[in-house]
Amino acid sequence: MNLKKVLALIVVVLMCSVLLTACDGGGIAEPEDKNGEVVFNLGRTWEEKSWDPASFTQLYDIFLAHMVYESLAKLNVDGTVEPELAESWDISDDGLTYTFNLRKGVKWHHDYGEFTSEDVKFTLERHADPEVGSINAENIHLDNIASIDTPDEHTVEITLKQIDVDFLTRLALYHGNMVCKAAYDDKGLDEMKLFPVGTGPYRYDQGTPGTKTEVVRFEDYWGEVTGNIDRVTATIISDENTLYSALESGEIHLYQCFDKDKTVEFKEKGFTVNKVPFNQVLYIGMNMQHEPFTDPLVREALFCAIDPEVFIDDLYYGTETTVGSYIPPNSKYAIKDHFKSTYDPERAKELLAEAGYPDGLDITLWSINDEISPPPANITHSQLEAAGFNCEMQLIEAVVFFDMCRAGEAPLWLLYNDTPPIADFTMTRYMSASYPGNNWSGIQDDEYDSLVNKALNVETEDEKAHYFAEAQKRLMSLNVLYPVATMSWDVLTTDKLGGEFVVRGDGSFHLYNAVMETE
Amino acid sequence: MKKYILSRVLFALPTIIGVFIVVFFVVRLIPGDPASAMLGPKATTAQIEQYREHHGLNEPVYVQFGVAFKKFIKGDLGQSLSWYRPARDVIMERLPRSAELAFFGVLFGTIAALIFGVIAAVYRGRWPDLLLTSFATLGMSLPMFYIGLWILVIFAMKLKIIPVISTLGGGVSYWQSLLGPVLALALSESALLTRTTRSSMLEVLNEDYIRTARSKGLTERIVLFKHALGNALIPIVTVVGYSLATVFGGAIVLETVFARNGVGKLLVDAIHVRDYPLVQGTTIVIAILIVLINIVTDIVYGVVDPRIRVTGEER
Repeated sequence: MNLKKVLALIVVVLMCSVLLTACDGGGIAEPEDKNGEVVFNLGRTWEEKSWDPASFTQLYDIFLAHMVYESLAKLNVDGTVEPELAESWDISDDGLTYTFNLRKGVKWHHDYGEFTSEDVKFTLERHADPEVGSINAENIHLDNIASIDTPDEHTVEITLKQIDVDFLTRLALYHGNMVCKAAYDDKGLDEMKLFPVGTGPYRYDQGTPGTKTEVVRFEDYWGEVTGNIDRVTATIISDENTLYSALESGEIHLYQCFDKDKTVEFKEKGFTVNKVPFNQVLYIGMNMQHEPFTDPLVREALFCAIDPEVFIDDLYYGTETTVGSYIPPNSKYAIKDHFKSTYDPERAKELLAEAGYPDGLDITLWSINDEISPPPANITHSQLEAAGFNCEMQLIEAVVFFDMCRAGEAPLWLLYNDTPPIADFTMTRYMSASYPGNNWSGIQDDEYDSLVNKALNVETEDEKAHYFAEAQKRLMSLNVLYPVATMSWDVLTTDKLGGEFVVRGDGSFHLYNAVMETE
Repeated sequence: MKKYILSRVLFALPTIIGVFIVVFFVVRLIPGDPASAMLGPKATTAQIEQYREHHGLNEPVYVQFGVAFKKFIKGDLGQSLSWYRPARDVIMERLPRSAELAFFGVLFGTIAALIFGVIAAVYRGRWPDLLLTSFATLGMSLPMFYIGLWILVIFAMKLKIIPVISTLGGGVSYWQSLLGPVLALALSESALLTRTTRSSMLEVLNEDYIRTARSKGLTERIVLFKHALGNALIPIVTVVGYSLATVFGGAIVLETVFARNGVGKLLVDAIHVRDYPLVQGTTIVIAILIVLINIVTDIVYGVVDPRIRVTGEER
C-alpha cells in the first residue's frame, strides 16, 4: 500500500468516526425524553452555589430553589401575602404574637416525613447558629424575635420584641424558606448545601455543580398542580451567545434576560416574552461628601443633564417606564409619581457656570463592566457631555466597584438599585450612620433619618407608608440619586409552553402549572 | 527509571509549595473584598463583617497563611468561599471534564498534525504544502473562541449533528457532546504542531540515513514513518507536552463557548469573586498536572529516542 492510499484510508476512517459518533444518540434533546417524561430545560448563566437558604443572596441566583422550597406564606405580585405552608395565622391584639396554623399532611421530599412546627422553629433558629454562618439573619430581623413556641405539631407561636408590620412579608421571601430538621439531622450542614429537601412541587433529583441541576415532580405534593412538566433541568451556560443559540435551536426552553435587543429579536422569532416584575431601578448616584457634588448647584446641573426618555426609547424600546422615586415601583412603600424629569441641558450649563465652572466640569462616571451596565453608562456619558460636563467613563469589576462605593470613594456612578419587596433596606441604607458603608451617597440629613426611624417604629402599615413616602420625598429633594427607569426581567420562553406561568411578588416564577407541548 | 521519577517528584515539591505561596499572597493583592463579591451591593456593613469573621478573613494575613499552609500540607485546600464547600471537592468535580477535553483535543490534534505535517514536508513547495501551511497559519491566527463559534454555527445550528450545549444530556451521546469542543481544540492545537512536524520532518528528510534507507530499496512508507518521523518526534513531543499542560487551565474559552465548565472556568470565576481558597486550590492542581505532564514528556523522550537517557545524559 503506498503513502497516498494510507493517508486516504486514515482520512476516510477519521471522517466516518466523526459522522458515526455525531449521529449516535438520535439527535438533540426534545421536550419528551426517552422515559416518557416531559422535560423542560432552563438556561442560565449562574447557579445556586449552595442550596442552604441561609446562604441565599440574590433572587436570580436561586430560581430553581423556588421550585423546591416553600415558606409559611407567599407574596403575590400586588404585594399581598397569602398562606402557603401555614394554612392561616392570627395576630395578637398587641401586634407582637403571630400564631401560625400549619397545613396538615405536607410531606418533605425524599421521605423525610411530615412538615411540623419543629421544622419552623428549627428553620428560624438556625440563622443564629454560628456554624451555619447565615447571611440572612438580618433580613429576617432575627434579633426582633423574642421567642418561638410550638404548642403542638401544627401550631407555631412567634413573639416579636417590637411590632414589625412587614413580618409576614419577610417570612414570605426566600429568607423564610422552610428547612427540614430531620434531613438536616440525618445529613448535616455540608450535605444539605448540595442536597436540598423541601416541600415544593419539584424535588431535587440530581446535579453536577457548575454544569446542570435537575428537579423532578414531587408526587406527594400537597397543592394542586395542573401542569405537565415532569422534569426541569437548569444548565449553566456562561456565554450569552451560546445561550441564545441554544434557545433558538430548541435545546433550552427558557432564559431570563435583560438585553432588550434580544427580547425584540426573539419575540419576532415567535418566542413568548413573560414580564417578571423585578424590583430594580436604573439610577445615577452621587456622593454628596465628595467634590464637586458637595455643591447643590452641580447636583442640580446633573439632574438637568439627564433625559430618561432616551434610555427608555433607545435602550429599552419603550418596555420600561420612568419612576417616581429611587424605590422601584413594585416595592411596597414606593411613591410612584413624585419625581419628574427636569431635563434641560442649557439650564445645566447655566448652573455649572453659576457654580464656578463656565468652561465645563471634569467628572468621572463609574460603572461595572458587566453585560448590562455599559449601554446605559454610554448614554449617560453622552448626555453629560452635551450638558457641559467633561465626562470620563470608567467601567470596572463589580467587586472593586462595590468596595469603592462603600468606602465613599466613587463621586458619581451608574448602577441598578435592586430593592427587596420590602423597602426597609434601601430606606435605611441612606441614613447618616451608614456612611461610609451602605450609604454610598454620603447623605447626612437629620430630617431623613428622623422620618425613616419613625417609619421603622410604627404600629400600622399606613403609618409606615406615610413616613416612608415623606422620607423618599426628602431624599429626592437633595438631588443626589437620579432614578432613570424601571428595570424588569424578560423571561423568554418557547412557544411550546402554555398553561399558567406563575409569577410571584418576589420576582420568582413557577412552572408547576405550565403545560409543555410534546410531539 | 524509578529513581529518576522519584527525583523529579522531589524536585517538583518546592515548585508546588512556591506556587502556593506566590498565589496565596498575589491573590490577596488584587483589589476587592471576597465578602463584597459574595454578598453583592445590598450587603450591609454588619453582614460583611459577619461573613469575614465566619471565614477567617479578619485575621492578619500571616495568620491566614499559617492556617492555609498547615491545611495544604495535609492535602486540604480549604473551604471555598463561594461554593461553601471544600475547594478540593469543587475542583475534583470539574477536573474530569477538563481532562477529557484536553486528552481528546490534544490526541486528535496531534494525529491530524502528524498527518498534515508529513504531507506538507513530503510535498514541500507544492500545493498540498501550501494548503496545509496556510491552514496552520490560519489556525494559529484565529482565536480559539472564534473557531469554537464557527463549529457551533455549522455543526450545531446548521447541520444539527451536535448539541449547542455539550452538557445537556437527554438524548445526546457522550461523543456527541464532546465532538464540538474537541474538534475546536484539535483544530487549534494542530496548527502549531503541523508546522513543527513539517519543519522537523524537512530537517530529518535531508539526513544521510534517509538517503541510505531509500538506496537500500525500503518503501517510502517505511522511510517516512519509521526512519524520518521516528527521528523527528523529539520537538513534536515537546510541543504536545506543552499543549497538554496549557490546555488544562487554558481551555476556558472553549469551556465557556460550549457551556462545559471545567477547571479553567472555575479558576476565572473564583478570581472574579475573590474566592481565595479556590484560586489557590485550582492553581495548585494545575501546577501539579503541569509537573506530571513534564515528567511524562521526559520519559517519552527516552522512549522515542533511546539515546536520551532519563537522566538527561547522552550515551
